[in-house]
Amino acid sequence: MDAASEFKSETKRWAHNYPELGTGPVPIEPCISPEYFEREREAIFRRVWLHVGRVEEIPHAGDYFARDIPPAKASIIVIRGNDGVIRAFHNMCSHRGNKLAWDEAGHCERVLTCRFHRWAYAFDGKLQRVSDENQYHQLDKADLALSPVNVETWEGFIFVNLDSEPPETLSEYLGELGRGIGGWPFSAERACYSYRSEVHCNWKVAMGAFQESYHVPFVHYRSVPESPAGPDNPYARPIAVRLFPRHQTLSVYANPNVKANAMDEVAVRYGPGMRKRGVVSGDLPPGVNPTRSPRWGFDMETIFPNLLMMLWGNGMLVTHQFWPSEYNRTAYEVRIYLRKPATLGARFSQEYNRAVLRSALMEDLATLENIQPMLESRAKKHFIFQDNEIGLRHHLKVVDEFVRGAA
Amino acid sequence: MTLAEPREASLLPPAFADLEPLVAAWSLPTEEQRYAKRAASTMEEIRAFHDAMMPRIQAVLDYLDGLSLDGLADNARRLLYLALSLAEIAPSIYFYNDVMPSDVIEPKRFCRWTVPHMTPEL
Repeated sequence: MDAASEFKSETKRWAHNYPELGTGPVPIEPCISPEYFEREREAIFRRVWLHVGRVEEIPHAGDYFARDIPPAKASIIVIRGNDGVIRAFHNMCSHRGNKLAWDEAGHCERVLTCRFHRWAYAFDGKLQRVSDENQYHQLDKADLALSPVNVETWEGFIFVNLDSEPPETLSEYLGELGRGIGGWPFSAERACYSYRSEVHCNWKVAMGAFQESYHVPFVHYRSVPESPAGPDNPYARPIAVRLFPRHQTLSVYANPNVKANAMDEVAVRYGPGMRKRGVVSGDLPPGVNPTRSPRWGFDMETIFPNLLMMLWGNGMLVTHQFWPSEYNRTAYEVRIYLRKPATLGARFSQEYNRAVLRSALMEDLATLENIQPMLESRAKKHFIFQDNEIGLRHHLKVVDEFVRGAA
Repeated sequence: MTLAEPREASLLPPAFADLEPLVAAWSLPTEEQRYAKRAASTMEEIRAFHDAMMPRIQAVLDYLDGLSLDGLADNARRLLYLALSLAEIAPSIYFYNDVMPSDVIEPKRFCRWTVPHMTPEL
């Protein structure tokens, strides 16, 4: 099939590849139901591996970060020990329950100390010092360590699991997706530019905006309309969709003939571009651009439940994470990880890419807040998904399997 | 300024002396400051900055490409900040013809945050 017809054909490729997902309308109710969200807390967020950060955030012994995990109603602290090992604990003092770390990140000298009565813990969680200790009745310090949380790393990403006995290791959990994309330069020296926004929207609706490229020519008509679309592919159809039992990969098309503006032309001369792309080269792991398409822009990985990872042909890594606190409130966090630029001209090019990406993200978030109130009006009961929106169908189905206890 | 402070030789490298009038407003060291400057400017101010910088940007980047960020002289550093401000305002010129359109999420609700040890100042 020639390139032009590939993206205009009536063939529904993904439904053909994944018939078990069906093709019918999909209920909206899980995105607007407070009860459903309460079940997601238990069935998903207290059971599966959750990304919380990067190893580079805590390079030295005593460096820590704390993260609230609203859907699990938990807060954790992740700290590097004197032995270099990264450990995670519930962020709660054994004495009377005070939150240990109130700030998001920091460094402890020797011990981690509770502000309430100065109980002090070693970096491995052991209770080391109790103020006015002889006034306690039966105090066995060995029994009063911080409550550990399972923590593992993959490619420098730190994941925790709040289940006391996770049925799978992180590597088993990431499965075929993790094996396929492992080895991509995740851990290359990078600077991280990050933004947060509290979005009035269900977390699955928010993720859905990133699990298809169909919206790009429309929502992003001013910023990046042509990047994944063009005369050969007017509706920005993806070049590949791969669905795994929980996770997925969407490989997004790159238009080779983007109409470049004057700034694109400058930027692409000094570094790999984003709207208008430079040459993509380098060996890729088998799971990245899995079909080896010459028109590949980036892969959007969904790592269940709430992490998206964009691996760009230009070497940029972007993670998006979605932390629900209520059925219609989501804390969105995006991290743009840029390779250390070789030259100051490349730094300029990166800065332009970042400004472009931020523009597109701000366009996405406005759309989401216009969707949620309509869903809650209950005027319609179902989403209608076309073939290139199969990623949303898949994600909602995996969520539902967990909630029904089938996963 | 105190009397003891030595006078700067030049605000910008001599080849870019024509851009010196832009320094006070647009040569800003952090992304946060550059974004705030864009947000606080009118479209006329943004366009005037763009129109002064854009014809010179290639010469600026060619000049900077021969230098390294470590130990960058103050005048070259100011020039780099000017270039980064141009990247920052580009969406206003090339996408929106507006400082920030009203149909994107409000800028004050899209907040930059710092990841320790990973987010550079620049």
